[in-house]
Amino acid sequence: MNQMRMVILVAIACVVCLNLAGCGGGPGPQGKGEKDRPARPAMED
Amino acid sequence: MLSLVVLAAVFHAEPGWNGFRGAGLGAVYLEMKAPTKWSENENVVWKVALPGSGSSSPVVWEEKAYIVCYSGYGVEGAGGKVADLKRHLVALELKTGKEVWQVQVKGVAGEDGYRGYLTEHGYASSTPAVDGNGVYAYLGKSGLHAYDHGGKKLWEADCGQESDPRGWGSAASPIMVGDLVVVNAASESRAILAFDRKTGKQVWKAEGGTLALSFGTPVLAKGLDGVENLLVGAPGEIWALNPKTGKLVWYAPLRGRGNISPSVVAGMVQGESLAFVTGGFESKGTTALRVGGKVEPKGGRQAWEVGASSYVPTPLLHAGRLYWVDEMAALKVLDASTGKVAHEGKLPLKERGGRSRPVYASLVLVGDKLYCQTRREGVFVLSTGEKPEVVGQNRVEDGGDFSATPVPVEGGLLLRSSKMLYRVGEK
Repeated sequence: MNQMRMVILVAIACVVCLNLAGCGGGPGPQGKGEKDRPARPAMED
Repeated sequence: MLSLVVLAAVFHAEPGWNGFRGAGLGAVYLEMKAPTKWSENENVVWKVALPGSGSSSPVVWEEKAYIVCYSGYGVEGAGGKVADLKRHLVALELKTGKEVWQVQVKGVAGEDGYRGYLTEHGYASSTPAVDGNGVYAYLGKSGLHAYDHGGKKLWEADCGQESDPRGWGSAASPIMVGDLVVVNAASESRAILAFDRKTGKQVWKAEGGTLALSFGTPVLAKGLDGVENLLVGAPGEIWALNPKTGKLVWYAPLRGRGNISPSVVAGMVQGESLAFVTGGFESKGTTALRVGGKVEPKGGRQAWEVGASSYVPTPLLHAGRLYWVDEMAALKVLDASTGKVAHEGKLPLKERGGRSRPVYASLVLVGDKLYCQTRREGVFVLSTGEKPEVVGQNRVEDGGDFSATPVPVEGGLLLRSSKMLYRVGEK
């Protein structure tokens, strides 16, 4: 019973944290992907 | 909204509120006046229903105000079909609020669904930019659109149709830099894009995967060496681009590795040209950096760093102090030369926050008063100085959400809700 209660509490905590983080969205269409791009633009000479 | 800004820009000043946070003026309007009291029945010059929702601010050019809205999908949680999404650019008579012209632009295939943070800010979060040629509206995946002041289309430019990894949608505003209009298209193409103001032709593209969750408006600043930087906040770092070429002049790590880009403000403080970078999630902190050329400035790139930060609202720099009211309504005043927190307070809101945070707009300084727009409890008026005091709380209510930064106009302010636009001022 205690385990079940713990599982429920952890699940609630996860939902709360995700909501606070604003992470309710899902990935949309992406292009060539972050790994296929340079991390930053080219440096000035 | 989530964004970055510069204020330094004494060299970039153009008349009026011509872009996000007044563009180069950094939301500081010392010569203007606005009332400290208004209500539904007092000091409302006009109010008009908007054709759609949105959280961006209007901009002003001569006798007109311009504003972007969206309709057809995701309005106030009403649902609908994403295929019906439309964005509107509306020109209004500043004196009366009467609509002068309006254009509508359909969304594109692959628009992000109405979920996550999009339920907080919607599909019209980018404040337009305006100049003598016309108005430039960044409409996310539908691109950058330019119209003249009569409503005639000048050009449109594709900025990409990708999505950020969270599907939160774009929120940064276009800014004008010399002959260019610059857009942070991190969500749409992981790039900062610069277009010729007159033709819409792309002049440069600064691409980088690090931009994946960059939602801030770039900011222009000039170092003591005369080198201009276009400052871009990316998660965990700040970039200084050459505004003429888009090439990287320098970049610097920021405190922590937040997953959302921070806000940037810049200006002169005690003889130094500094950029102040704050926000990001989950990293907490504000960093002051010396701007300029690639050679590290005297004293090093970083001037100071502290743990205090604002996640959504952008700070305001004035008279050596950095002010902000963060998304949870916490007021902070920092000494801009040292980062020392001079004052901490909290706006007396009834709302306690939670997921739906009570403040998204940024402070604006009009005359000698700070104006803080809350989302659902009106505008707080505060004094300036080391310890600002609340001198007023004024409400107009329409059941909508006020996420846009107030805009100073002659004798008053424009206030934008998700439903209406108001002009307050002494009649």
